[in-house]
Amino acid sequence: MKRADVPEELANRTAPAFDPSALVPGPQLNQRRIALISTAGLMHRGDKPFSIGANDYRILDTESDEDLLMSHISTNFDRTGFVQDHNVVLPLERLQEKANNGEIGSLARYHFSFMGATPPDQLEAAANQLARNLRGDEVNGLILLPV
Amino acid sequence: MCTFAVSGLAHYFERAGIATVVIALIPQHAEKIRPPRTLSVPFILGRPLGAPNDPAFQHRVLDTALGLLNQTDGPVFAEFEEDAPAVDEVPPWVCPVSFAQTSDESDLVETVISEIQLLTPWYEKGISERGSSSFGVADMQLEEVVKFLADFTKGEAPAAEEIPIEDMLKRAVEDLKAFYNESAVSQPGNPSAKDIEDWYWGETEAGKMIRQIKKSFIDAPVSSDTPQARTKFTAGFLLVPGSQAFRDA
Repeated sequence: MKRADVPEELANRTAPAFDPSALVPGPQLNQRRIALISTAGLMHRGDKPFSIGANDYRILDTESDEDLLMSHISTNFDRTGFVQDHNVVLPLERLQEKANNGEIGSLARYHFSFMGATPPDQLEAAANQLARNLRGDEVNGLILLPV
Repeated sequence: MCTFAVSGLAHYFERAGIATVVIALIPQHAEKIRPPRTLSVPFILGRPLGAPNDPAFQHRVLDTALGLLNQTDGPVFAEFEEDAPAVDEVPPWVCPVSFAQTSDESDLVETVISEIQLLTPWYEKGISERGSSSFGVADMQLEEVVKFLADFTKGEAPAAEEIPIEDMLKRAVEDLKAFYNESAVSQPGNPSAKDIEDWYWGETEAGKMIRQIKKSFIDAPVSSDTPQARTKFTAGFLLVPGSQAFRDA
């Protein structure tokens, strides 16, 4: 949103405190393997939907034939963009195009979704576990996307 | 609250050795958590890439975000300056399907199903064009969804089976909305997100049914930490957008 358009009550909500993190260096973009982390409550058809307080994640497999569904608990964001074009929430096709023309090294097969109404400090255990999987897949660049 | 979540997650992944960049939809929230690298974007909530079906615009957003990845002196805060392309609505979008109006609550299910029948050709056209549907989180057929939701309009939650009833309520509401959203975006014209939101909550019997569920539960006396109390919370806060609350104020 434009900064000035964010309602005061929303802008002023309290957040958990985080110490600064050292920024990780890495190769040039055309040598990076990129994955997406969404907090849109995305899932494949047949996966377990997210519920209030969910602190886990769903695997989004680019080779799956199952539809992508959205089970975020909030009703206060637009979903009409997503139903027209998944890339406005999860830009897999755009990143594949970048991989195809050499702008990025590669696009990971697996991407992941949390449900962003859960406070971030309750997602730490799942994120740490997921980070091991991502490193094992040699992912060295993550784009994190809210809704 | 999603910008809080992605901002916190970025800290965890970065500390685990993976470079991150956050796209922030609420800049003030990213500034509170200060993730390693942030690109704030001026788009509406729900559209972190700004515009559906606009690959060139989406590439520009991604190029700007990816361009931050190699920065190692942070936290980095950048802003994407370009607005999402304006929706070209000439003439203004009007849903071409005319619905019958009714005030007879006993016909609620029948009325909503009649609406659905009128919209189904557009919904199926959308599936044909896009090859997918976002309907199905509740794992019920559409007619079942309507009958299930109608039971909530009296302010009483049906008995739960395996899944908590408040979760089923939320999933059914979003499935019904997904059907209407997909039907609307498949029709002629180029409706904005606000057009579709106003149409759904203001003009459709489905939207009115969900608003009725909220109204029925909001003042219902319940004991705390019971299924009825959890359903009341869901009905009161998780079904109707705050931007549409004026309709029942």
